[in-house]
Amino acid sequence: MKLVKLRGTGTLLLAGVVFLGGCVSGSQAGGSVAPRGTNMPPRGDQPQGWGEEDAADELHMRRRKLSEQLVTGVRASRGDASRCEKVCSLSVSICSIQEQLCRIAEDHSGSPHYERLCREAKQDCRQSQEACGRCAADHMNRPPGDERQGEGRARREGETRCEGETRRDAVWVGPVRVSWRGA
Amino acid sequence: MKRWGIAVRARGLGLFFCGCLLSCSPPVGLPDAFEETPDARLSAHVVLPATPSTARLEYAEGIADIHRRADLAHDAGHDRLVEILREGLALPLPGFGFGYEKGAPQGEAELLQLELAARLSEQLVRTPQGAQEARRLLLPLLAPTRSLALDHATARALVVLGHAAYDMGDDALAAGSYSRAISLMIKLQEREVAR
Repeated sequence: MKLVKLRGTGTLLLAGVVFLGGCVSGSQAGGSVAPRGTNMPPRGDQPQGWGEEDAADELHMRRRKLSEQLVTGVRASRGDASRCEKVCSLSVSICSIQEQLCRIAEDHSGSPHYERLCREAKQDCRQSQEACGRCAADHMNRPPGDERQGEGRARREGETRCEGETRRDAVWVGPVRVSWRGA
Repeated sequence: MKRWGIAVRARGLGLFFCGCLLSCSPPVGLPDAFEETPDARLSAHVVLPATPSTARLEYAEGIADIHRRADLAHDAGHDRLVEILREGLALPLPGFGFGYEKGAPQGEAELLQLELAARLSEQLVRTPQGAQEARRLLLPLLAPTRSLALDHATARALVVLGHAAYDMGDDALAAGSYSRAISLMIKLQEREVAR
């Protein structure tokens, strides 16, 4: 019984030593400096050689920058997901209303007014589905924290707008007020 | 006797012409007049946040309270819900100058009112006789000659107007409203993509 107790204490001590060793080696790893050429200063807890203090600062800055980039990337991808949700939800609504509109147009077959509205609505439905698909593909392919995302969106948005203008004779009066389909 | 006969005939002719004029003239001013072709014109504007004021805040709080009460009364039945939503529409809009531009004088208040009108109309079109009231309620707010706020509330209201018109057999208004709703939603989607 005594032997078992001693063995237990020994195991605990051993575990303690291993844990402490781990902590020390961990702290050494955390305090390591970035490689700066072949004349590297001796390793240790505190900066000892020439320029090592600067390197530690540089490392801290790099780490901070990396974590900031990571957080920004995660936030951007989350924002994108909700944006795509909205884009795709609008697409579902557009296509559902288009079906209703075309059902009415069927009752008025032969009327150019109804036929035109149905044709345009179908085109709108396709366009909205494409926008949803592009948003989803963009979201899947983009690496976190990609700074060019805004540029890409603006370009694509311009393309969509041009399509709309050609098809509908849209009039873009200004950035705030928009009129189209004639008045 | 002869003069009497002429007078009677003249009165008869007069009445006949009056009747003709009444029956032939277009039903101007009647809200239930149906158009023959769909009108899909759409002019839209972006509503910018207005400077806060006591009147605007009171209106927004009043509308929020109506929605809250309507949510709670959801199980109380159709009539009670309609009654509450009507109370909201009776709230006076804050004065002019609430918006930012001529043609969109109500700004954010316009959106709150439209959203409430859409909710009430959604409720109204559930009953056969409600479609007419929904149409009467929404048509002036969404007239093709008006500039509409580029917002989900407007799209929702246009869709309900389309449902109400369809239920009444007014296919031209239904098709026009659906088409305008689609155009508005395309614009909303483009705005979302550009964001």
